[in-house]
Amino acid sequence: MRAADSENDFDLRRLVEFINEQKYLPPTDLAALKAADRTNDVGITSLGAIGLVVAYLKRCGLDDASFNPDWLPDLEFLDGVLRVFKEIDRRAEATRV
Amino acid sequence: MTKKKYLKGLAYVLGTRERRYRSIEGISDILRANQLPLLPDLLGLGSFFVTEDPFEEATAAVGRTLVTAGLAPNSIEHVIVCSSDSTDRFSERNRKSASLLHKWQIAPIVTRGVTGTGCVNLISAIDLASAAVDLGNAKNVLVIAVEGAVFSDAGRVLNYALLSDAAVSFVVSDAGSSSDPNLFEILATRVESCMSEVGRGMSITKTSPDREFVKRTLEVAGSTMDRVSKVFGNNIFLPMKTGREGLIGFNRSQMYLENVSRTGHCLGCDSVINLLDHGVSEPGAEHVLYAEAEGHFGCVVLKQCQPMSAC
Repeated sequence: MRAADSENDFDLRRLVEFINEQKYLPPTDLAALKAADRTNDVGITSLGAIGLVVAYLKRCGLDDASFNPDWLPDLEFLDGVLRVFKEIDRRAEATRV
Repeated sequence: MTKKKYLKGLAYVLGTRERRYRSIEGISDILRANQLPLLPDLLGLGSFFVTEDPFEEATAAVGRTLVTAGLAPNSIEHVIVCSSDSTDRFSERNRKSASLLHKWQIAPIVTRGVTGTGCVNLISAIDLASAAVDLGNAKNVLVIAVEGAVFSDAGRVLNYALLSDAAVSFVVSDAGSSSDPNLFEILATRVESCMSEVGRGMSITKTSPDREFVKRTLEVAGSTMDRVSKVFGNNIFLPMKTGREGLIGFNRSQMYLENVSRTGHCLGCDSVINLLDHGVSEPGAEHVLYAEAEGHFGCVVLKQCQPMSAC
């Protein structure tokens, strides 16, 4: 279980919303994500995590060329997914500047 | 002492019918069940090819091989046929192989089959053919990959790829002189199995031993990751492909991605199909053929030759 703080809660809420928008993933909630460390703990497989990131890239207006292979090991953990999402946010912001 | 060995007469034939991914009924449900979004551009979903009998494609490919390699049928001493899957019993398979060889008047002393390592079978066949040449048992080994007519529509949609039908053929030879523009020297081959992975399905996020496996093969070839012009690997869904090849150590410019959506995953045939579609490189360019399949790994390091001369 990860330590709670307001910024982390905000990120987790965003992640919950985004996961629940993906109809190919099992629905989840904030409590479940807070209690979990690995994406598998909330029913998301490694392939599902890849799909989640791919979908987030598309949401942010980026294409598949932005998929960084170094992300793969991170996707096993929820904190890793959050880090990847933040990096995607930064890249998307950079393209808008 | 090992001899110089060459890859010549490379040819492929895709399944006779091209179909689009959307023609597979329920594909979005199948992808959803595998926790994958139906995002065609990002996954690399596009066409796939279907045949009733891949030995028809293989027969055509072998004909092209003999012509482009400039080899007489009686110069083929060994034949290796490989497939990832087959619905044929031995006798039927044997009959089809014989029919193919009779068509082109090829009468090898030795015929072998390679199976059991999925998409790595073709690279395993190159390794086996190279050994036959090294031992002096053959000057020309014809390698044929026959992939297809095994899966239902729904069965073609895996959680990492869209399966397609094709056949590939080429010759592993001790003679470099050829008018074939797609002549390559085989610098190294390696096949390994990681028993902690075998039988456990496809591991997308595993980081080792892939990186060291390819590096070891390149070292044997006297090469390095930086010197590789292109890596020709499995045509699996784009994020998995770029992820896996990236984890091995290849950068994006080294990856050949075009055929993921153009041909789909033709199992063991992918690396050679990609090599051919890439086109002729500058003489001396070094390429890697790479395949992996549920704990099995295969790598071949090639150097582009100039036609009409030995490297």
